[in-house]
Amino acid sequence: MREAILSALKLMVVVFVIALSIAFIDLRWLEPMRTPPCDQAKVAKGHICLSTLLQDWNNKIIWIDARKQDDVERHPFTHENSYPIRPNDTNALDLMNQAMPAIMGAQDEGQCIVVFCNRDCTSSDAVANELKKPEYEIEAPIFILEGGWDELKKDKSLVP
Amino acid sequence: MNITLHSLFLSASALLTSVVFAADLSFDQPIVPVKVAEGQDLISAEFPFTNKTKTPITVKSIKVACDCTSASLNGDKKVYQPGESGIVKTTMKTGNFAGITDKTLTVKTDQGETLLTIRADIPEIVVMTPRKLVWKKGSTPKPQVITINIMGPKPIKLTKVGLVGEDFEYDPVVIEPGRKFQITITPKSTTQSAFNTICVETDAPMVRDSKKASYLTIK
Repeated sequence: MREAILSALKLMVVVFVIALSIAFIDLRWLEPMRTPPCDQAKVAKGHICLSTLLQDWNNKIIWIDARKQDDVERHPFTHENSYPIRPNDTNALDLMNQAMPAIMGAQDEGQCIVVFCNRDCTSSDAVANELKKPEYEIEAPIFILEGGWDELKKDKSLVP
Repeated sequence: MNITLHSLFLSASALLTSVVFAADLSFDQPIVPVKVAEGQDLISAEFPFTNKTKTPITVKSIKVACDCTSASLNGDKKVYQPGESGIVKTTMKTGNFAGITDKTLTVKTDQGETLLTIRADIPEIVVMTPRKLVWKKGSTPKPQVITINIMGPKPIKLTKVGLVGEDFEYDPVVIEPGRKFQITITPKSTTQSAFNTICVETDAPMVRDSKKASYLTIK
């Protein structure tokens, strides 16, 4: 009887140690690398989850790529309705001018405007804030893609 | 036995959680507003902090959100003992858009991470209004006026006015040298839809003030 209890206790300790190790590895190393699923109810105001975007707007989307030029060259986004606007490049206004016919015509075409960058990049905010300035009178909705390029590249129909 | 194991696992998880999410460095002001002066390209901000915990904290990295921002620790010191203070120093390029701009950086330590923000208020020196002119297709091609006001203390000249497209006539006029300009825009015809851009270049030192555009639409 005593041996049986001891064996059970040993087993419990082993299971506990294994569980503890797994939990520690998960919390310390795996969790930061894992991208949680985007929850539209929890994202910041003006942000949109890719799933919501594709469901609500299908392909009525003007994509604004605010990533750095190096990133764009390494991982191009070749969608026909995409335009680069990089707020820190000296040609930012030229890029914006190239995108403006599409951006200003978006409302008439029933399209929305979606700005994306890399996950922790703030260029999306800078571009979205610029486009939302009242003087441009852009009536189409302007969103920032939650998770940016990291989310976009998961969808093989958008990034083959 | 299942209940015992479950309790043990919960206790272990709680212990782990408390270790992983222990209190981190305490920053005096995680959002620092900076008023940018006219012609200022680079701004600096400091984020003082103190280790208010009872254990040493090691700063592992400072991740900046764009290559327009750099950050470092005062004296490149990484380990902070309980009660010890330090400063995260940052420099940021102001970029090409005026208005309120946030640039963020994330300080990662062995106890967690803290998001810091520089909130730059970038003045608009060359103000072009309106930025969007619309004529209804088939309407009378009446002229509309764009005004350019110089809001800074120094006078600024228009060095170039140009049209991308060929559906409009434009006539730039100096109203007050160095301070105020007007461009009268008239569609050649409104029978067809069109989108042109009127571009203005100035001798302002900053890129954000040296090029401006307004967008002309017939629809």
